[in-house]
Amino acid sequence: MSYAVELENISKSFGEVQAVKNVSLKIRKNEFFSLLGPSGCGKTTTLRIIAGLEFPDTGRVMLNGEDVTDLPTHKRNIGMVFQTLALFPHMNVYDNIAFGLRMRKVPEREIRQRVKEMLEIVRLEGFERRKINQLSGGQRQRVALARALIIKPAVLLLDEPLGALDLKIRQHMMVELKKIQKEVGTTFIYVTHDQTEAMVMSDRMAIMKDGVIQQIGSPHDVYMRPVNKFVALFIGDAINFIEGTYKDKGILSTDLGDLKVPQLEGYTGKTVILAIRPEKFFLEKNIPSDIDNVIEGRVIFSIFRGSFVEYRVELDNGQEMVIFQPYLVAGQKIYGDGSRIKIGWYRDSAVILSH
Amino acid sequence: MSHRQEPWYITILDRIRSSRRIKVSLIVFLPFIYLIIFFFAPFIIALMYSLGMFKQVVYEFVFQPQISLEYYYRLFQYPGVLVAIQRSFYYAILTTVGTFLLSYPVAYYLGVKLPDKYQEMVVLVLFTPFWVNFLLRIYGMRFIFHELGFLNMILTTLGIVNEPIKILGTDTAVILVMIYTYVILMILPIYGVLEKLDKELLEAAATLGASPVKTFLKVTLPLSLPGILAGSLLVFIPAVGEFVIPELVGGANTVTLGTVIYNFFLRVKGTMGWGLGSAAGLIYIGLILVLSYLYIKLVGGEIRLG
Amino acid sequence: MKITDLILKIYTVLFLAGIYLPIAILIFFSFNESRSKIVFTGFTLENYYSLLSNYAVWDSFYNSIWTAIVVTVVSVFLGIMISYGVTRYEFKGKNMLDILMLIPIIIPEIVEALTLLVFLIILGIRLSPYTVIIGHIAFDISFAYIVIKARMAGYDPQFEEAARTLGANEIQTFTKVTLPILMPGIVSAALIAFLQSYDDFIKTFFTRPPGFTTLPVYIWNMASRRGFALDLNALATFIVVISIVFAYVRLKVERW
Repeated sequence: MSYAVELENISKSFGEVQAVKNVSLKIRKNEFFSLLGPSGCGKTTTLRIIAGLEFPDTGRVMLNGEDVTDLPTHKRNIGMVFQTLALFPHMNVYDNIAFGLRMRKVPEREIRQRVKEMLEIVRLEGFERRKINQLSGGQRQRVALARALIIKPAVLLLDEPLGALDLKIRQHMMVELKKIQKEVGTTFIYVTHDQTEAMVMSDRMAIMKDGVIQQIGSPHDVYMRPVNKFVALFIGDAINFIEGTYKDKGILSTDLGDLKVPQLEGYTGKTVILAIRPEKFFLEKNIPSDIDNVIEGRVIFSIFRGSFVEYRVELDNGQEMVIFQPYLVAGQKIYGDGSRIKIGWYRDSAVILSH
Repeated sequence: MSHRQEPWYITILDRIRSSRRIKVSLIVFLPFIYLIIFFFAPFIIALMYSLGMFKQVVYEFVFQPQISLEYYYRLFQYPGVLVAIQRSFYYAILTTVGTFLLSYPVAYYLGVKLPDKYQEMVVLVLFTPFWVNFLLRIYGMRFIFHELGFLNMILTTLGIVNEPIKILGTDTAVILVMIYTYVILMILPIYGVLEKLDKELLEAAATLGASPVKTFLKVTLPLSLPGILAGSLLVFIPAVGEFVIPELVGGANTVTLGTVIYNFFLRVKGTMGWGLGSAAGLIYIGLILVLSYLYIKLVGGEIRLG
Repeated sequence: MKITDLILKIYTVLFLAGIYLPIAILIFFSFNESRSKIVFTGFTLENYYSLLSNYAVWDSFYNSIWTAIVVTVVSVFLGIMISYGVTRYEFKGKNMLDILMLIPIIIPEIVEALTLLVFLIILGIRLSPYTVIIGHIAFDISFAYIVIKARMAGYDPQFEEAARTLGANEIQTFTKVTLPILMPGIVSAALIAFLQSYDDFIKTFFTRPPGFTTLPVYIWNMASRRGFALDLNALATFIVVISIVFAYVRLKVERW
């Protein structure tokens, strides 16, 4: 199988700071791939290395199976949407989009045709003569996208392009981006610190921390099977951790008593962390009869969030838990502050993380 | 993907690009050499000259490896020089204070009170006269200060004085014209600071119970201090060396450091005039360096020039 | 509070009127027919006719213009290079360079002028219009540098990276992206550099060869005599008009 982008043991330092540490990645053709992580995790540097805007200290960069490690940016066939968008302020929409084709000496007639098609894809027909400063944030996004896509790049690199937008427009643009990606069938590599963006759009994602890739997987995988505490915390709205010692046969000994947990090999006697997502719990009489674990706690307070109710519950060991309960029926009971409630969950809803 | 064949000059550019040091040297230091040769080197040469390190042999100057403070010594012995230096400081201090007093209310009004939509227009109105050649503006002041001029006309009409007073040729004329010429250099930085001043600070002071006067004294004025210091520096430094204004509106009793330097260079013949002139110029530069250093220590920033 | 605002406003208006007064008076007296020159006796255009036929004025004007053009072209070119390097690259001594670039603006011209004169004479360089140009460039680089650097501070380096990802090489990036985007700053810098040179008196005065007169030197020659020359008032009207046009154009460029 050939990949759109392959990174082999890429490392890059800026002075004392090692921004990227021995990163290897294989990104499939036509994939929407996200590089996700907090600021300073090396995701943007990785993207810029793919673009040829930075050169790695060690390692190789392959585009479509061809080694481009030493090739300058303008000779790599890549498209990039920048964080600031970097739309040329002295050109109108048409000239911005046509720029890449003009650099490639494409005949003006063909340029006209392709710009027209591109404007249809990003739904900006009739905006050709507009100045950049006459466009809204969302429209600028689309122009930047069109400008990068029109050159039919081997891969499209996006560096947090939605960062500057309002929440509503951002949500809209996420779906829009995904649609456009399906339509043009180009490989997208999307850098973001926003896990929602990555979850919504990606086929797969890589979560980075301190220049190191922590986990690569589909949104489902990283949400359901985080490999460590960092990923578990970074993905999703919230997560609960319970510490304990792993006994044999899927039993975890904790200060809340013995809990049934997924069966694992080679963990016996080790201190581990049990991670449970807030929506995995059942409360009181909703607890099914075949449930694996039941513990008790006291409601500190509840927050009505519309589609669900968020509870903060204090367990007997003093630990605080976050629990989401779907709000399904009008007038459904909401447990009052201070009330004692039973909390249950299935053993396979939780994940064991090594310390 | 195809590798496009690039012309030869791109290959050379690639070489240059790969070395940051070569690039910075070409872009920055090559043009900077111009300033080194035609701006900084002359200072060194003038310094050497004032220390007697050149001697003139017919039409050529010959370097002689010696350092003597003779020119500096003689400068202070020269009739009128000390008085001229004192006078220069007197003028410069009065000009600095005068420009500050005159311009602070204007800068305050423009920066704090004037609604934003008028800012640009008023600033344009404020600056335009200063685009007119300063010699012409000074010449224009002569029409105002002349015994038959505008000022005396008003003073006699209002009955403040009976006889037209003589202003041209006096200290007053020099100081007033200096204030007029330099006032923009004082307004500019103060306005710059006040305009950027967060107006909510003033409201905050009011909510905390400060009266308008207290607010001004405790908040606005201290916060505009960097602007005032920058303005004072920008006015004081050239004011000390001013020679055009004393020449144009002053008289025999308004000789300044600038006039002294000017005279040594253009009216005293031979190497002596030059040596004395260079010495006077270097004392002036020393003063500027000290003041600028104090300013940077005090304010720590660079000077805003609008 | 209201009353203090009003007082401030009136004061500001008076202040503005005050700074226009000498200019207004100059223009007013340019129409004076009186021999005594300082007392207005009647309207005439005589001073303007005499200005038009004054060869020395037009010769100085011509000298001012051509030297200023040369100075502007060279100093803006060098100013662009330095400001580009300073904003785009990190290197040792950058802060020092930035301060050194300010010095030609802070140092009073009389000192600059006389040290340059000493330097030129010691090196045996004969004074000529080119020594005037050399002197002007030395301070104009700094003016150009400061104006262009201010523009570049708001300039996003991602513009250039974007051009490169779109397939532009270094030269194409510079000519098609960098230069056009920085154009307003460059024009603004050119206007300021031109005006500084065109308007310069002191440095010209010290570094000019005998007989070489620019407009400011001409004005000085006329004004440093004790009396009044009403041609000069007529010339002032002319210069004021040019200056206002200049100020206006500069404002337009700034908003560009």
